[in-house]
Amino acid sequence: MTGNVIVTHQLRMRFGRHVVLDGLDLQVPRGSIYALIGSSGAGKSTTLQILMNLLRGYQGSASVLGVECSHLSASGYARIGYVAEGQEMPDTMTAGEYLAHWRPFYPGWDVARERELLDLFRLPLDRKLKHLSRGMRMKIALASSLAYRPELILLDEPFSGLDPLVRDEFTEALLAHAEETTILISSHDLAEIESFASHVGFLDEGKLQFSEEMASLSRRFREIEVTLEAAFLPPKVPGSWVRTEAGASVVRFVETQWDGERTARAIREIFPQACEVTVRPMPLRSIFVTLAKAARKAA
Amino acid sequence: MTLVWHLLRKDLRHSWIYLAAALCLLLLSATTFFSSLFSLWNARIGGYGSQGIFELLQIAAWSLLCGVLILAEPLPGIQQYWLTRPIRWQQLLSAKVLVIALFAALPIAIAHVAILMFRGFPLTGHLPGIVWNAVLLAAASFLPVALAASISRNLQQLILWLLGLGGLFFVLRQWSPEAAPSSEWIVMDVSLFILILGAGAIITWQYATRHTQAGRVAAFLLIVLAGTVQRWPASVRFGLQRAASPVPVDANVARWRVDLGNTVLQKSTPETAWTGARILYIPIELEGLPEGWTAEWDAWNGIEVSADGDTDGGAAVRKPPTISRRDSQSFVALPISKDFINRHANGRANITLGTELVLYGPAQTMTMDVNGTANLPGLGRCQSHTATELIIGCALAIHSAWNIRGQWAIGEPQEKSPVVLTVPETRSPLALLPSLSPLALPYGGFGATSDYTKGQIYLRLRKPKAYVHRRIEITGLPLY
Repeated sequence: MTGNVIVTHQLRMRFGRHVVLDGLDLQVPRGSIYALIGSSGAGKSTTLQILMNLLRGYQGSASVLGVECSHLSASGYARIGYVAEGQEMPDTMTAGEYLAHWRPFYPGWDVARERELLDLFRLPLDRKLKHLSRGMRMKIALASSLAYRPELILLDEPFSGLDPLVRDEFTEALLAHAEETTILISSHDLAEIESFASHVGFLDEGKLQFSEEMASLSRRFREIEVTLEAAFLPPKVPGSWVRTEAGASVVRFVETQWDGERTARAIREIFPQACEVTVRPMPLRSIFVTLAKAARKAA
Repeated sequence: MTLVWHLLRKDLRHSWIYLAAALCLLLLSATTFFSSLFSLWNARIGGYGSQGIFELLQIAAWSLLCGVLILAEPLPGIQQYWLTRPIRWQQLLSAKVLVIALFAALPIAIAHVAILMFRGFPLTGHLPGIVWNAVLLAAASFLPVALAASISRNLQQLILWLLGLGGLFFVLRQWSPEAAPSSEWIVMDVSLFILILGAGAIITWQYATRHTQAGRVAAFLLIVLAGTVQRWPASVRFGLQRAASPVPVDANVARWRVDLGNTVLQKSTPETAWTGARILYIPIELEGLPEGWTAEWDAWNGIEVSADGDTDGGAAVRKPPTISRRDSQSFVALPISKDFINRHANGRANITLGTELVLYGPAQTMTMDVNGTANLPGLGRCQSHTATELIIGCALAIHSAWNIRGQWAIGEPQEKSPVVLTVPETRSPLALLPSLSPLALPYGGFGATSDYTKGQIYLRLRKPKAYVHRRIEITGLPLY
């Protein structure tokens, strides 16, 4: 089956006078690992909470697995896994009891997979949840959300506050099951996401600035350095250039629509006396910082 | 259903300590009830002694259990672990209700059965009453706690909500004017009915929608509504009582006849304790009662004294009239303010007095040995007991309202018996609450001492047939 497992159209949400989502149009393709990135307060968690029918009172439409989010019920939840930062857990249960508690609710609960996950995470099943570290609790939450082979997994800031080892284990578990599911992950941890996300969406002030495949994003962003005898800030640059800065002998900018030939031609036109042009691909983190700063400047 | 049992077992595993504490207290409490009927009286009226303490502790333990059960899956907030799981709210709520039914209401009912059997009451006929009491007890004791828990995120919030809502209810009840004793049972029943029904509805709604803010507002409004029933106009309260009449009667049954004769309001009428008024004695008589029926004045509902379009707004309102009987003639003693009389000297007054009456069917007289048992009509098996007081306890039974008046004498009952049971009461089935005792103890007497351990109690039982509103109307009464 193809198509989008998550579709929102003109999704708007406000808390009092504060607009959190402002006409969000989001499509998450089936089978993708979609990273929703954006600065704090951009509306990432709110989006996920609406998708899980935790928040109501939104305008527009939002559907998950073909079901309008406000109508999401037990049968829908049986097909979705949700792990969020700050999610409360029953402290008096042990890790083993927690997993055993959920088993009967999912017809597709796979005990063998549960065992695999437990082996991978090395979870202490006999300890009460309240005595476990944050990392352990997140791993239990993930294990209990992967064991029933959900069609869709929503992860809200799952890496926040986790040590590198736990992050690796977390990512490993996710990737081991990525083929059969769709993952929507909101995170600040861009380096982690970059290693496995297939799609990325940038959310800023409740609006989706772009949404595309990771490979395409990496292709079109370049950090360019033009060396001149005497650097200057040109009065007019192409709209696809952002963060243009001039040093003593260097002009730096980010090309957001990289196309080797076209970009080279534009550079030659604007800086005919350029001595040297250096082009570097950008990691996701740099792209995010560039876009966030550009958006802030525009605002 | 399998998942409901799964949830129930989970709740039992995680709240067993609260459950065990509540069951232990029930056991201790039941054990004390095995001892004597007098201990039940103590527990009921005084709240002192071990029974009273156990009773309070039991309520606290069951309430805590109820709160812990609900808070295992808190409803407010969006970060709760269970919200994004395939649990249907109906399953969750059913599991909670089942725990309360099986591990609170049922043990209470079983304890009641055990106590009644120990005391020699036959179970036949009493089981429905025991079940009814257990259900009511669970509903009245647990629903308000469950309501507070359903709008709380944790135990601290639950305690705050309980204190807040409970305090508000208490303040409203204190602030509300005292309802007439005769309509107190209506106020109690309506208040309880509103609480049970409203709390049940809000809890269900909260489980179905988790609109916590709205739920909190609804809970607040519910408490205000239930706490201010006493402020409802007398016409509404007594209207409800009239609607509860077992037998419909028409307007010709029980009419007031006023025989003014030469009655006039004299300026020389003696002053009352309240110096601003004079008393007018109006001879009245009640007519049209069916054979064997009796009627008792219950309360005033609408008093108006006027002359030439001017109303006496003071005396009769501040000091309600009384009805007395002298030389086989009944009188209404109606206070009228002196100012009003002075304003309308030599004028004529119009008087309307609205009365609420209880009409009783033919009385039945029963005798009962002191420290013995008897089957009282409508009340079931009852036992009497003397110690420092005489009390009569009746096993729980679903019964309609009964009125009882009794005398106790070594020989035949005399005018001055050593004991007269306390003010005859009319009780509705809901009035069994909120005792944890398996015996309804509606009738207590004063004046007996441990010397009186023999003899018989003579009881006069009457069943209320109807509650009616009748007006005493006097027009053109000369004022001199």
